[in-house]
Amino acid sequence: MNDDRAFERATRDWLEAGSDTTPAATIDAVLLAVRTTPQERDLWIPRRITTLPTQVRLIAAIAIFAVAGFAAVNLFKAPPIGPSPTPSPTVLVSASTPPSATPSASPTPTAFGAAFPSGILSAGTYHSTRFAPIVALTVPEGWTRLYEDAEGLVLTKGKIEIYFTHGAAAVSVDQLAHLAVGNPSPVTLGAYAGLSAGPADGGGTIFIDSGLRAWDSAVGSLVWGWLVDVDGRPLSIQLTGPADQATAALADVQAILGTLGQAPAVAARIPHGPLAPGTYTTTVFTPPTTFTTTEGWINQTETVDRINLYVGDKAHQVSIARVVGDPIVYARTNPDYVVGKPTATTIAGLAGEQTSFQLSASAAIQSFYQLSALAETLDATLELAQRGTDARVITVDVAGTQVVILVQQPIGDASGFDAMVEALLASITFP
Amino acid sequence: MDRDLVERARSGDQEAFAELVHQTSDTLFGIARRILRDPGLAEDVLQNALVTIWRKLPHLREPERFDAWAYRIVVHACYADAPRNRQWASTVRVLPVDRANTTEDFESLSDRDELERAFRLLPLDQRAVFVLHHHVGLPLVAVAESLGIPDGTARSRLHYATRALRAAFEASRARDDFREGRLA
Repeated sequence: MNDDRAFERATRDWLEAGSDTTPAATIDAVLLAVRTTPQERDLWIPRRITTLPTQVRLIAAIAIFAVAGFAAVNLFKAPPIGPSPTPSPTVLVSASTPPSATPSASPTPTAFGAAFPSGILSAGTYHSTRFAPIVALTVPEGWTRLYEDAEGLVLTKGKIEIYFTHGAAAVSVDQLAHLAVGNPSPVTLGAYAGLSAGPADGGGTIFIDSGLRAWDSAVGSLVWGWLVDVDGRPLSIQLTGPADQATAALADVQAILGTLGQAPAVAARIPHGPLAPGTYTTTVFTPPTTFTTTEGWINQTETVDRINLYVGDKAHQVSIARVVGDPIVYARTNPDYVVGKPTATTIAGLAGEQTSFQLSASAAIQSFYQLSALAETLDATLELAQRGTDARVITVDVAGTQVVILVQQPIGDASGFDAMVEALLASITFP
Repeated sequence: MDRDLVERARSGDQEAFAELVHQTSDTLFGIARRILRDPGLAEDVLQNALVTIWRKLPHLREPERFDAWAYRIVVHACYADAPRNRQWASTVRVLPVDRANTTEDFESLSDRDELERAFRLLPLDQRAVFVLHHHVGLPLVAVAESLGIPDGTARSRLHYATRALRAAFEASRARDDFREGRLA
């Protein structure tokens, strides 16, 4: 037995040991507690807004409809018509026309600045690279970029933390309602309109994104939240920290958020979420890749290392990624993979190699390290396959860069996904 | 998960919630037990988590996401309760040495012991990702969604957890090899 196999088996045996049957006394105690425990009221705006003064209701309603309207227009606008429709930038629309509910705010476009470096920041303007929607901010001395990936950007100063994330495919007012204190009020951050709420006591979980994604704050902290529409995507921002420090920092943070902007070049990036049929070119992922989608494709993420497209439930995926190494060599080291013979193929006029492989539904364990051995960074890892997946890898050299196209679908799938993939692959070019 | 059951529980139906508890508690207990490595503590955590689920159910917008949402609450209940109990939580386990008659048995016991020890040294957030991925079988994207963390964070937590366990496993095997060599 090789080491990988032995390790997987030992891990599985150890992890699955013991009984998972819940003691009856525990269930009885829960059901007894439930009898006397009221459920929390669902604090979402349409219900609460009826208690507000008429003027406030009007302002909030305008802001809500404005934000939701921008999201709806940007997300559900009619597909472009023509042989090679290219999605048009939408950020400039929202940037130049803040909703009328925020008459006192004046948009402050910023320069794009440099990419956020990891660690302590000098005073200046920076933009995100992995996190999308790509944001540009001007920060004073003393802040640190703690973390950035495709899903989040975190800036800190002492114990103060600003967490940028994105939620569901549309701005939803209830994403702020869980702050529970006060009512969300209209706000403009830099060039973007939205809502703000807080402060609320920390120590709890703030549910966002339809109640699934959430963000946790420490006991004793205070929390403020903002939610703005950036290019049709909700940008969620939370400020938290020990009560005294967070309160003292609020004005500085508001000043930073007031510089929120987005570079014109970024406006043409591939939209997150459902893609209208059309032709798209990556701007974050390199080498720049152009492809044409038919109906049904969804853009999950685009980073400098990869772009993930999927259909339906994410069991049908196409990933285009830069890798260092050969994923097939990796797959051959795991006996759970059934790896086929490589065949020649052509992508974008470039000679490549295609290899099919399967990971059976009864495989001992899912791919363990994913492709970390191949990747330059952890963010760049690809999960080679889930259990029960039929997959193929196409490798092609694009001007010295090793590009991998990974196609995954359930074993025995007959959903018509193959035809969608073939159309997508045939459309790929590397301009 | 039965959507109707979740919706009824969400609207305050205690009988529906009781049925929901019966359907999900073993899975949730399994998650807590594996993260905390202490069945007694896991029972307490599960109890708190289920009451939290009841309280917060009205906030759940999409009933079909109940499972992932419940996983998250259990994991955070583990985070909340573990530090308070770290001082007295028992780590003593009785190893069935009398049943270890073969080299394979000794290897297995040694492996498990080392894996257990290594896992207990991991931060809870790494344990949670490992358990949701390898025990529950969630893809990493789903783990990230369930825990409300970025994909990259889930990947890195899994990577570090796996690396630690692999190191422990290899150390165990190296000791076994040494012992076998010395006794041979």
